[in-house]
Amino acid sequence: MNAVAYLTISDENLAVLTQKSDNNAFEFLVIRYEEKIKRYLSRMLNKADVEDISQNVFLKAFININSFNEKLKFSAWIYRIAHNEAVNHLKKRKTLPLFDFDIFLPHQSYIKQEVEDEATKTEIKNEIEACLEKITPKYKEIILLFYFEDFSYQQIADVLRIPQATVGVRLKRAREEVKKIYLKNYGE
Amino acid sequence: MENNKNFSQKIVEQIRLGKIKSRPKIYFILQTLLLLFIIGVSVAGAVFLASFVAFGFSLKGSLFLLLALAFAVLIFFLLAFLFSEKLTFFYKRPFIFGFLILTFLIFILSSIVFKSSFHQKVLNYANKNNVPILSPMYKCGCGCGCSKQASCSCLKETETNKACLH
Repeated sequence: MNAVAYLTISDENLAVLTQKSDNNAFEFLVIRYEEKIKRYLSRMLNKADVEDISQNVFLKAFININSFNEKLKFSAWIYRIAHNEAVNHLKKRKTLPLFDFDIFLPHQSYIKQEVEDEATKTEIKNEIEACLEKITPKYKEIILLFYFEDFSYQQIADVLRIPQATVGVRLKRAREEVKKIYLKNYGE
Repeated sequence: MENNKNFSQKIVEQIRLGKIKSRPKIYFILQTLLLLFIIGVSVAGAVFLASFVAFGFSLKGSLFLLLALAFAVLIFFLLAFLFSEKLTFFYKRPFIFGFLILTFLIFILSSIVFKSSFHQKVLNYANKNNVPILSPMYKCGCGCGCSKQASCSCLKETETNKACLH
């Protein structure tokens, strides 16, 4: 198969080709996701750790490629690996709790994705960028996936492996935290 | 750009040199089966212990439900801690639903085991044969938990009449 053919194939099909021992297909997946994974990790971790951890993400993706189910989104699958790597790294530094109780109770009213207009979204994005370092890691990740990676509630639920309604609750709390930090640091 | 090239090349090079190999599909199938086996054993263990305690202390009604609930709490948190991110049963819905389903399951199954002659049969078997773990677990043989063992009056009654006073 030539390079042009690989460029037209979907991520999921490239993953299936990798499962069939086509290493070129995996190379194209690395090229497609390298920047996205690095960007995501650089907002979560120290800049110095990003390169090594990104490399681990792709190596783990290759090792576990046979566990990928082609009916699911490849993006959610690879971000799940990146999430695990980031969490393991943060847990080593004891900055993440072992268990979150917000996954215990149902939050039905938050299950529907909130629709925001572009102006509001840009405003929130700017606020997040300004106080990213100060956001609690638990909220930082969810807000990054929603505002910077453009993931839906369902995709975020698949990456973080939490109920969809919990995504809604955490996003609401994350926005509140961002607002609070932003107002404290930059005023009105 | 050069940096980008190096990154993907570095990874692909490790794969081509055979330093990194992907795990076969069977590995993941076996992993899932092992997971289901552990869950099955944990639930069966909780059912056995809940019905055993109920049998030993002749618990009924709300006390039995409380007992099943206590075992469900233990098992659920153990399973949730170990597998909450591996099984959709745990992470697709709020934990409270999974917890209620598990409590109900343990209560129903242990009620069935308690009502059946299972523990009586095990008790008779444990009395006749000196089975490690099982015989000391059933203590004096009547399931009353008095730990008097051979000197227990209930046991003598059991031996002669083949029925327990409790």
